[in-house]
Formats: sequence, C-alpha cells, structure tokens
Amino acid sequence: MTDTVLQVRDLVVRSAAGTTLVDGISFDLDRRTRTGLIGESGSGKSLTALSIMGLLPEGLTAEGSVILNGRDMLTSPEKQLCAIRGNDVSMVFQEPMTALNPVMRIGQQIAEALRFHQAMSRQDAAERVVDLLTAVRIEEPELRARAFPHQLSGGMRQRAMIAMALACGPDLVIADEPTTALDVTIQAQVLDVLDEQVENFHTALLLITHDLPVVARTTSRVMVMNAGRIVEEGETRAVFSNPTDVDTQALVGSVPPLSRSATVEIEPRQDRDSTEPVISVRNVSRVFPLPRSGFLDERRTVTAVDEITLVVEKGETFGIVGESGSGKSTLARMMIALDIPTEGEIVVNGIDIAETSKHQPLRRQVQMIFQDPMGSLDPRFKVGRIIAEPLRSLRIVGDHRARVTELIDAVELPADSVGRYPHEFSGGQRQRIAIARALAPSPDILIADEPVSALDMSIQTITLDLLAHLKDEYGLTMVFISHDLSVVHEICDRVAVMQRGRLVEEGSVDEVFLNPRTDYTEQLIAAIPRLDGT
Amino acid sequence: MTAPDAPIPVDLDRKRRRFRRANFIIGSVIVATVILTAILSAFWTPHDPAAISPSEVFLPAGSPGHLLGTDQFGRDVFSQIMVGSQNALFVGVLAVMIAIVIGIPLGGLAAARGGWIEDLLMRISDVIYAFPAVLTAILFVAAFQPGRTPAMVAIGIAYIPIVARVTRGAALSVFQLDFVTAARSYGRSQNFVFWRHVVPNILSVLIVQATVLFALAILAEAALSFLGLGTQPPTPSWGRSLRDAQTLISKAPWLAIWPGLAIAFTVMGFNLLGDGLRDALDPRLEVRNS
Amino acid sequence: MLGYVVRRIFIFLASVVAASLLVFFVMSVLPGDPAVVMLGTQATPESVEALRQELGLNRPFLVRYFDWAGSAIRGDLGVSFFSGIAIGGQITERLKVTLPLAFMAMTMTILVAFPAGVFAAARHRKPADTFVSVSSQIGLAIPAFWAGLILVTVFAVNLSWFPAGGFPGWDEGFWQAIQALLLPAISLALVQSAILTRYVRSAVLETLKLDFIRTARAKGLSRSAALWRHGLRNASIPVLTVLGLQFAALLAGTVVIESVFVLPGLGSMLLQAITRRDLFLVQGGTIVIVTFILLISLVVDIVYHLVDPRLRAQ
Repeated sequence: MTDTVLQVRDLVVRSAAGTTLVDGISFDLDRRTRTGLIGESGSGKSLTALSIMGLLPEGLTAEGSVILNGRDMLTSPEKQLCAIRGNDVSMVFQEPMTALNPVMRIGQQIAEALRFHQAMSRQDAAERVVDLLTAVRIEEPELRARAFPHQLSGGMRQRAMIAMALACGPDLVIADEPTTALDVTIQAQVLDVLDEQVENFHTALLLITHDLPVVARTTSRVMVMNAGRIVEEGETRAVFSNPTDVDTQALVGSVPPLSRSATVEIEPRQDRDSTEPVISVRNVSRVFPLPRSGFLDERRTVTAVDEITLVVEKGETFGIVGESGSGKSTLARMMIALDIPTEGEIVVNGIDIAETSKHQPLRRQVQMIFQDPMGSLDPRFKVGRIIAEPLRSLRIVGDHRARVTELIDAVELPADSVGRYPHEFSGGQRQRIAIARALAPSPDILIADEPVSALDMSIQTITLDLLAHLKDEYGLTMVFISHDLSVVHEICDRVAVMQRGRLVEEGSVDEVFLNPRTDYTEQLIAAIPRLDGT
Repeated sequence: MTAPDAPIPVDLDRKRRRFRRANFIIGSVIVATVILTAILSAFWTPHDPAAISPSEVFLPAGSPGHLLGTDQFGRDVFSQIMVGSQNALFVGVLAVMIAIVIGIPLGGLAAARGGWIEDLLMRISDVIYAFPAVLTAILFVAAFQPGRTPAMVAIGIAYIPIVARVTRGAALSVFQLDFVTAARSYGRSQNFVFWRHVVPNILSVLIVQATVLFALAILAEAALSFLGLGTQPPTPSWGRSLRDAQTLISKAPWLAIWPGLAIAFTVMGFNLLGDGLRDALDPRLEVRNS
Repeated sequence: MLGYVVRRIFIFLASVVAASLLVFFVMSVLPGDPAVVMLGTQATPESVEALRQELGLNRPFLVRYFDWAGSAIRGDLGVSFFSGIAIGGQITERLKVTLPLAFMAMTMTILVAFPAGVFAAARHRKPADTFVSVSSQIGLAIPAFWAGLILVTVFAVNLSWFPAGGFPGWDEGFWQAIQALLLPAISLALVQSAILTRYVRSAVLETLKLDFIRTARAKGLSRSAALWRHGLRNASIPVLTVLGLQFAALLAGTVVIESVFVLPGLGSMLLQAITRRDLFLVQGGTIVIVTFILLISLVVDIVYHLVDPRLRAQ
C-alpha cells in the first residue's frame, strides 16, 4: 500500500456551455493527512470534490486524471465507482437537514452504507450504527438511531453524517463546508468530533471551506484555489502567516482580529464618549403564538425576545450578537417599527413604536439593510427605481434623479447602474445597492441585519469598510446584528450578547470580548476558530 | 452560505432548452390557429354552418366542397367546426376571468393577512373545491335554465379555489423576501406591496395556471354541452355536436370524430403553451452551484 | 396526532354543513321560486301556491334548511317530487354503480400512471421519457366522453366484445357487471392516468434533484438504487394528495360517462332530475357526491399526516 491515497493530475472541469470551471489542478493526498482546500465561491473547490467522488452534475465534463487507490474516478465504469463511493472515499455535505433523507430513520441511513459495502446482516449493522453514533458523541445512540432527521438538532445531524461517512472505514473523507451552516459553538463541537474520529479511523481528510480559521484549526496542509486554479499551497501555519500569492493575501487580510489568535493580545480600543440615547429598549418581550396542534390543546407560545433592556446611543455602532434562535432579528424588526413588543416599550428618536398612528416619521428616520442580497431587491425594478423608492413612498421633495446619482456614487457603483436590473450585479454589488436605498431618505439610524453574512470573505471586508465610511460621513447611528463575533468586534463600539431571547451581557466591545463576564460569552469566544490554530 | 460575487451565468442544458421551446412553439401555433379560426369564422366560412341542404345529407369526409363531410341536415361539418371555436374560446375566456378576478385577491389576501383570515379563506376555498365544475354546473342549470351562461359561471366558480391556492402559495414565498419587508419599512402600504411588488413577481405562475385552466374550461364546457346542459342551439358548440353525433353513431360514425379532434387539438394547444410558458418565463431560477 | 385527527374531522363536518348550506341556497333561493321551477312557467298561480304550501316553502330559509338537514342526517333526504320514491333509497341504488365505476377507474389509473411516471423520470431526457411526455399530453387533451364514444363504437358496436351500454345489476353475475363497467372505466382512466403520470413524473424528478439523493450516491448507491430506495419514498408523499383530488375528478367524470354508456348511476340520476325539474333529487344527489369528495379529502389528509414522519410527531 503506497502512502498516496489520491493523485489528481491536470483536472479540468467544463460546463456544458464551455466555461472552464476548474482549470487544470494537480495535487496529492497522503494517507492519514489532513488537508484544507480554501477558496471563495466560484473558485471550483466543490467541483473538485465532486470530481473526486465521480459525482459531477450532469452537463459538466471532466478531463485529466483523478486516481484514488489506483482507480481513475473519471474513467472507471459506474459499477466500480459505486463500490468505491462510501467505502474507499466518502463525503460530508454542508446542509445536514437537506443532505439526509427526511423520511428515513437516521440509523437506517447509516446502516445502508454498511449493508451495501460490507454485506452485514441487519442485526450486525444496527449494532455497528450504535457504535458509530457513540463515537461521534451522540447521546442515547439506540434512541437516536430510530429518530428522523428533523428530530435531531443541527449539530447532531452533522455528526450523524460524519458517522455515516466513516462507517465503512474509508481511506479519504471529503468534508465540503461541514460547519458553515452551524452556530459557532456547535461548529466547535462538530470540528472536535471530526478531528477525533478522523484520527480514530485512520482516514485522510480533505476539508473544503471558505472559512480560513476553520482550516487552521483542523489541517496541517492547505491549498488555496481561485478561479479554478490552485494559487498557493503549503503547510497551513506557514501559508497563513506568510501568504505569497496576491489572492491568498487578500483572503488572509480579510480575517478580523478576533479570529486571528486566541493568545496574542488585541489592542483595546479607545472608548468613545457617551451620547444621548436614540433607541431605548425597556423590558421588552415578544411572544408568538404557535399554531395549535390538537383541537383542545392550549395555545403554545414561543418567547422570541425575553425582557430585554438596552440603549443605543447617538452616533455609535451598536452590535447585537447571538446564535440562531437568539431573537436578534425579532428585536431588529421591532426597532424599525415593523413589529410591536408584547410587553415593554421601545422608544426610537423619541417616538414610542407601540403608538402605530405616530409611526410615520420613523419610516424615514430608521432604515434597514438585510442579509440576503438576492432577496432584498425586487428583481422586476430597475436599480435607479429601487433606490428612489423610499423617496417616492415617503413623498420626499427634491430632485430624486440627482439624489440617486449621488447615492450610486457614494456606494462606489458605476453611474450606468441605474438603468440595469438587480440580476446583472454580483452579491456584493447588490448589497451596495441596498445600502444606497437605505441611505436615500437620509435616515438617522441604520439597522443592519447580517449585512455581510451571505458574502464572500474578501467582499465582506470591502463592504464593511464602505458601511463604516458612510456611517461616519453621514453621521449615522448603526445597529449591527450578526452571529459572527469577530466581525462585530471589528466594527462595533458597544455590543449586546443575546441567547434564546435573553440579554446575556452588554458593554463596550473590549469589555465583552476581551474580558467576558458570563460563561456563555466565554464559551462563544472560546469556540471561535483562530487563524493561528489556537 | 456564500453568494458568488460574479453575476451568475444562466447555463441551461442545450437539449432541454430545445425541448421546452418545442412545447412553446407548437402550443403557440395551435392556439394562434384556433384564435384565427374563431376570428375568421365570424366573417367567412366555406358554407353557412346553419344552411340545411337535404340533397347532401351524410356525405363522408373528402366529398367535393365538404372537406369533412355533412351532417344529417346536410350542413357542412367543416364550417360548423370553425364556428364552434368561437364558443370554445368565449367560454374559456369568461370562465378563466371569473376564476382570476375572484381567486387572485382571495389568495393574495390569505397570504398577506395570515392567521385566522387565511385559515377561513382557505377552508371556504376547499368547500367550493369539493364541487367539481360539472356538478356545480348541474346545480346552476337545475336552478336556472340550461344555457351557456350558467355553465360558464359554474365553471369559473369551480376554478376559483385553484387560482386562490396557487396565488396564495406563490405570494407567500414572495412575502418572505426581504424587498417586501424593505418596502413596508419605508412606508409602502400592504396594498401597494401586494399589487406592485408581489403580483409582478408571481405573474408567470399565474399566467401558466390561466392557460391550464383555459384548457380545462374548454373540456368542461364540451362535457356540459354534450349532456345538453351547456351551450344551447342554435349557438354552435363542439360538445353539442358530439351529442348529436352520438345518436347517429351507427349511420355516420365519422361525425363523432371531427368535433372531438377539434376539442383535443385546442386543449392540447393550450396545455403545451402553458408548459412552454412555464419554462420560458422563469430562466432566472436555473442557477448552478459551483 | 390524535389532536390533529380530531381537528380535521371537525373541519370535515363544518365543511359538509357549509356545502349543504350552499346547495340548499342554490336550490331554494336562487331560482326565485322553486315551485315555479318545478311546475314550469305555464303553471297557474293557484297550483304554484298550492305546491308552496304543500312543500312548506313559505317558511323562512333557515327553518327549511334545518328541517332538511335534520332529516338528511337521519338518512331521509326527502321524497322525489317526480316519482314519489324516497331519495335516500334511490341514491343508494345508484351508488352501487357509480362507486364501483370510480374505484375501477382509480385502480386502472394508478396501475398505469405510477409505473409510467417513474419510468419516464428514470429515463429523463431519453427517448422513452419523451414518448411518455408526448403520450400524456395527448391523453390529457382528450375529452373522456369522446374517448368513451369512440371506444363504444369500436369495441362494442363493431367488435361486440363488450356491451354497448346499460348495466345488468350486481345480482345477475359479478363478471357481467364488471364487463359493463370496463369500457366506461377505461374512458375515464385514459384521461386521469395521463394527468397522474405527469404528476408522478414531475414529483419524482423534483425529488431526484434534492440533496439527499446526492448523499445516497455518495454512499455508493447507483442511480437506480438511489431512485428506488430514497426517491420514491419521498415522492410518494405529495403524490398522495393528488390521488385524493383525482378521485374527486373521477366522481365528477362519472356523471358524464354514465350518459355515454347509459349506466344507472348517480350522474344519470342527476341529469334526469334536471330534465324533470326535480329539485329535491338534485339537492340530495349533489350533497351526497360533495360529502364523498370531502370525505376522501379527509382520509387523504390523515393518511398524509401518518405517512410523513415530519408531521406525525405532532
């Protein structure tokens, strides 16, 4: 048995229309090594993974050679490939909820691989499944094996997928963005399990992601892909501390300070002077009724926001940080007066949002930027019209055309953008359009709900810079909501940490991130993967 | 999940595109033919469809001057078929209009308000849906007189729930999108948001649904006229021609073929058009993940 | 789960009540004066008034409704104005033809559509798929009664393989009865199976695009193994709901087909009732059909909740 598990030579992948998606890459993977494959979306990293599995989507063609344990995955007959997949090489996918069959029990899905490749009896397979689930640290494995995917949490589902991938003891496991869809604390758990079991089962690991610190934490070697080519490769630590390629440098440079190192001290920021409050949240709760399941059951409720009190001061950038289900988006909707608290009071710019008749001025004073650049612009409207909409809706006097031109310029988009449609622009550009729209009515307060979470890392940095710059130039107050602590640390002055609707901790960014007072915050910070592997 | 930072190339499989376009082309050609026939027949037909000619009864197809033959009164079948298209289109248009005019606001309201209003509206819709078009027509015809109008109204009403449900489903997914929230946040009313933001974005779904319902309406009217409950004489109707043909099946079996073919041809045209439109109107959905 | 079933049954009952109100309304209020409808426009005012008294039509709407509904629940749907025979009994007799016909057509539809739809999806974009797609487009466009006419002409009149119409009754012999229903069922099934085939095909194709199919292939399953073991399980769930709708369409279709084949079913009863202006008969027959349709919908919803584990856990 040689040391090399996988040998890729001059792999080229083309689309049906002829576009080159992977442009001639070559690399080797040795047994029991852990390698990272980094790249932004469109770099071709996922296609490389699918080529290794021989699972390219229809319409794409591949050239070159992909030799796994002596067999060429690009040219071998399908029957042989079926015997190899799941047995010699297996894959863990990004979204565990959709990657698992929702109507089949977890145990059955894991056992399927065992019974197919190793001809195990039902009994033996069931026992093995329990062993596997225990190995990935799923409690009550016998019970969980009989569960359906929707009955498990996100982290558990992903660990089950890992169990499924390792079931037959493959020589190589490919993990494609395995933790991107998970909260940071869950991500840490899953990565731990992946670490452990890859070690345990003596497999090689190819970890594909856009998240550099995740790669730093788990791998010893890394390859960086851009536009279908491998632009840099080497030992992980070395590449990240001294990248030689321009694109890699940009990627490394876009990693926020908090994600760089757990041990190196971060400079504390100068505290800004306190100013008067513009948003005042007092004992606010928001309770939602759930649809009735039984006929005679009592109405069940979910408390999205639970007695929160905080203050946002004029001119500051206030961060709200929380994992999924923390209630931060619900709170954001209330701040922009699109929803009313069940209890408590929110006063924005002196107006109590509970008094719906007096809302009107707020529609101009508070604007929002949303997460999904695809969904936040009406695909049927031209860009110029989109940006001018708030002006029309709020009946703001003045030359709308001129204002739109001014704004397009301010967000650094070409002037002819106004005549084009959203789908002609990239994700980052669409966010700029959204920012221009938000700034159109000259608001005082900007609420940004995960504004960069859906963007590539390098674009994130550019967009954040733009936001910070515009905020200063227009003298805005900004509320910045995100699940990404390091981004919040980078651009906010003060921050509030939310968990399951409750306010866990609040203070200046230095106080909360560098000297957390609560366990939860500490956990959150400890869970952040760091670029230097600490 | 990261969004690519370059505009996404729309990369449809060439073969698929061809097949879909074939649907659209064939469908449009057929529908255009039917519409043109209807218009033309208002001004000219080879013979007067009502002209009785006792010397030319039961001529088979291919007889000189009568492409498709004549019926028991010597009337030219081809002319009858041509004029019948007017009736089919008329019923289709009106029935679908009734369904749309009531169904879209119904579904839209349900999607916009949610809660108990949505529940109630959908339950009402389900009750109406339990009355198939033919049954509703029977009810109406029993209460009033047999005729084209009660039949048309009945068909239209029977399709309201379909339109409502489709509208609600499509509108719901658009309501989730952020640009709707954004519009509300800078002061647009629910009404404006629905008509100017949501509807344009669900238009393709509705258009496709409308063509499908058009086809179904033609089938339903044919069935009703066949039973004697729909279009009454002297208005020509393909369904009623089949009714007449049924009694003469032993003497002139070919009389049963042409109206049936006309119906099938027209219905297929609308169905193909709908299929083709569905694929032609939503290319932006085809996004390839890298 | 039980909570859901209870709630759903309640909705069913409420729907039946709402439907019956609708039917009653259309029959008693819309035509203006039902007595005039029943006697014809030539009737003298005296006879009209007499009929109104006799039928209690001068009572307020709700009183009449509750009277009718109350009896209906106990099985008494009134008496046919034309024949004097109890409507309930008539309907039961007719159902013995219509229901088996609908079931036969449904069975044939499923037996054809499921394999055809799956087959077409498995051979997507190959000639076999095109063939199925084209055939189903044609099948969709054919009016069922026309198909019936043609089938009767060819197989019954010309070839004499089947009876040209009529129904011998179940007492005469099981197979004779089935024979009489065969051509009508085929006519109905022709159209419905075209519809269902397209639906099954698209459901399977949609399912095949989902992520877990890719996971199955990554485990080593072949394309067809992934289709059979993962795809079908999932695709069958939405198809279930369509089956319910199909049955309703079939019931409606029987009304027309019975006319082609001269079958003494519920549909032909309704048609005769219209000609004879027997409003009560139309009322009774309609509400029975609607109730059946609502019942099917109830059963489908509950089965759907049972079969989909994501819904069961409530």
